[in-house]
Amino acid sequence: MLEIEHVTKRFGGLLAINDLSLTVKKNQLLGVIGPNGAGKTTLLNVITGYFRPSQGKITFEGERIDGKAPYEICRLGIARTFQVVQPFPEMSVLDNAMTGALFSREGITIRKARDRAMEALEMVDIAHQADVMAGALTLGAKKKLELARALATQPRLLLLDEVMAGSPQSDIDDLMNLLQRIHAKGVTILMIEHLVHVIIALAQHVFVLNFGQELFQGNPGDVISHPEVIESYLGKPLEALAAES
Amino acid sequence: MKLRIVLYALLAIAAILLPLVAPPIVNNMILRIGSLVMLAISWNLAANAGLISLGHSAFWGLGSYAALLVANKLGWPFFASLVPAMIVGAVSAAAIAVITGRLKGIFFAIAMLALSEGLRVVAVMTPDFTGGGAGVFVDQALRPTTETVAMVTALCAVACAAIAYLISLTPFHYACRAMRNNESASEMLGINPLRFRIAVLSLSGAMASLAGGVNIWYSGFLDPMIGFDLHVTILAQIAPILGGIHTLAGPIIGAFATIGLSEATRTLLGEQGVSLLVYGLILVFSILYMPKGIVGTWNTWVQYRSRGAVGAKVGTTKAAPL
Ligand SMILES: Nc1ncnc2c1ncn2[C@@H]1O[C@H](COP(=O)(O)OP(=O)(O)OP(=O)(O)O)[C@@H](O)[C@H]1O
Ligand SMILES: [Mg+2]
Repeated sequence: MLEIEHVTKRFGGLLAINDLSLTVKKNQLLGVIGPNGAGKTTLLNVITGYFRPSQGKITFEGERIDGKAPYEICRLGIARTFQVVQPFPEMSVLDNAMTGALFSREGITIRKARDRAMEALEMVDIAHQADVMAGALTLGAKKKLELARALATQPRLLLLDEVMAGSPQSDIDDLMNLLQRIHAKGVTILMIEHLVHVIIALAQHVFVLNFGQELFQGNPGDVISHPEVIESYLGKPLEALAAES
Repeated sequence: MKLRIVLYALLAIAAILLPLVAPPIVNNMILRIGSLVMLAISWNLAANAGLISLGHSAFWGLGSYAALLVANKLGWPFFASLVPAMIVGAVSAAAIAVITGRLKGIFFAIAMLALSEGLRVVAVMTPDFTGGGAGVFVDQALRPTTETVAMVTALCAVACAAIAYLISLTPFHYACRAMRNNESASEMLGINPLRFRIAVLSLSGAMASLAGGVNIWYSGFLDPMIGFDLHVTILAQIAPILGGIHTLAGPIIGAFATIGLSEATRTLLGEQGVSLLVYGLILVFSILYMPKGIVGTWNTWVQYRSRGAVGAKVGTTKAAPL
């Protein structure tokens, strides 16, 4: 579905992404892990058109998307959430989600957008706060809103940048459940996550990024036992990490 | 809701017909308030999309000169002259939207300020075209009665308000607010910022130019200092901020309040410095103590009252109805 071929992204002398190739298959739930500064967020920014890759090629469903603007990429059916939440604080929760529904497809009416937005809000369980200003939400609720706003665009590919980070355990369980439901609806998901146990539980395939390069990829079980992966996580065995969190 | 719209429509009709029976001094007020309503709505539309203009007199002046030139050089009458005024405003605004690209906040504001100052210099330096610093009179033979100009001003102000209202019901309104809140996040939802920026600035420019175009038919005279007057720029933003920025009613209420205040201080304290000082101080303190303007303060108060009656609900800041 999404093919990233030999993509490099340079910031001055820094190689944030270095000759990276990665394939996301249709209906896959792909987990991306890697230490801080590995280039995970940069990878999403390159896919979604915020940065143009310095080299390489990206195709989505056969269509070349590197060099396209974020709004064009959205309309092709790719949605994302941001690591640092970015709701529209001076708009109500409902209006936030409606904005997602209104512009991702041509010619949708306000009424239809409202229905679609409410559906998304119900899905992430913040429909009861529809009239609240987004700026007044708690961080957890903002994260959910951002997910709802992305869902309201009705994506075929959903890119998530650490949606769980900073959430209490009860919310994490809810969110994991939610992601499974979204995935079951036929949405392909690429999720970046620091919580390794979440990735192990959810992902069908795990991609480990380190210094902008592929360190390893494979199924979750193999990743935990891979020595280099363990080392890149500061020598801590991943089982221990998983048990901790 | 229906009743409200009927009420507003009746008010609007009354305002448009008032010049037929009003004495000249009232017509003068209608002209000033009507012009400021147009300017304020125009400024607020752009501000709603995150574009804070510090140079609305650029559009006002371009509209003024466009109307004046087609009248004096081509003999176009009052009504016809307003069309090129609006077109010039819309086209120049679209060009600015493209040129300023992603400039926002203070950078966009300064670009607009530079534009209006630059245009004034250009107007002074092209006397063959604009009459230069000495100014130019509108062809007397073409001038309509003051009543007609006042009626058209009221009509245009009502039209601007109606357009702002209708826009608030469309997806356009969602795109503008999203861009103002977070342009890069809005892009990920399928919004092409440049497209909306061009659209909203064109509309804003057309409205401000229309106001300028109408105005020369009342004053009958135009020079670069009047056309590209900093005072226009300042009024265009004081009125919506005083009334309530990013609201529908704010610019209208603000225009009435600003002109009303200026008249009140002038009649009570005389033409001289003291009245201007008091006028300025009241404006400053109003904006300081009512950052959300008259409309925002009113809404907060109403909410506070109703919540007190029902029993305070903690943690639910209700979205103000626009
Ligand atoms: N806009 C930018 N300009 C310059 N350097 C950048 C920019 N964005 C990211 N970088 C650098 O690129 C590298 C990768 O950053 P990135 O944000 O992609 O890491 P990450 O894997 O998402 O880390 P984290 O787990 O902390 O979120 C870092 O060294 C960062 O400093
Ligand atoms: Mg990151």
